[in-house]
Amino acid sequence: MGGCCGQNGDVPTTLEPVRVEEPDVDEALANDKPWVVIVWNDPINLMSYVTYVLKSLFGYSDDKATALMLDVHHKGKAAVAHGNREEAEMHVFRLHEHSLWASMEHDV
Amino acid sequence: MSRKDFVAPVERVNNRDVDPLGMFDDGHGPKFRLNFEPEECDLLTRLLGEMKDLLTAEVNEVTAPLLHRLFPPAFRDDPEKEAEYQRLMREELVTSRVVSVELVTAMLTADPDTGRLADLSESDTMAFMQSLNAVRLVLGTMLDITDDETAEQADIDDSHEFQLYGYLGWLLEWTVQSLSETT
Repeated sequence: MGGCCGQNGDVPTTLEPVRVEEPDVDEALANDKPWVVIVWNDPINLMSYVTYVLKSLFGYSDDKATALMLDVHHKGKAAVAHGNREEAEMHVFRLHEHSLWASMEHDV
Repeated sequence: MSRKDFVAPVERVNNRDVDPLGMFDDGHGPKFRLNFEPEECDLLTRLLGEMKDLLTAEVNEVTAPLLHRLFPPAFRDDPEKEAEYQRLMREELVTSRVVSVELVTAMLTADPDTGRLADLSESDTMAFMQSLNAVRLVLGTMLDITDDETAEQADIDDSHEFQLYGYLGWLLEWTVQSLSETT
């Protein structure tokens, strides 16, 4: 992308056009902006299994893992982790390896 | 009347019972034992074989919903990011699942004399848990257990498939419990 200097139609002080690099702002923000990992309720996975997986993958205490699992169970979903995009994708992958129904979205 | 001693299907071997000072602790973490009848090994091996077929065969209209549950979307609202994610990660997840199934199948079909069902590491037992869970999940999906009501119905229905579903859940609870025990 290129652009000319001067904002008000002033006489440019240089003959060389000023090259303005406009980064893809949305993309940059998206990669740095926190992402949240969601686990969705399903009627098949055992509560004990979900709790164990949360403890095992994220190092959560019994209490925290159980609370998150109960949120999933009663509210239909719960945010179980946060991170940048790459981190969140890895969390989702590992949750999928354990057959949990997980996805990621922008943290708002 | 004699009472047959109940043997847990999955147990954590508490080395402290036989080795209280930990003199023979190999330092490689807790060990586990699977106490299965040959028929159980055969059943589980067959189910794992079917799982492997499901993971490696071409998708058809029957297998598509089952695979969707095993490979859910990472980005539910962003088709572009989802396509990119699947392009990078789908094969890895397939491979991960196949490797786990093969590992567990090897465990179950190994010669009992070599004691492969005993002295299992924590990671072996977790692989067993993961594959067992996946098999149960696929069966549950096939049985249309899509909400808590049908899940409760599964406890009552004693048809062959629901009995199998119940057995797998029972076995999975034992596995999770053994892995969850703190030393």
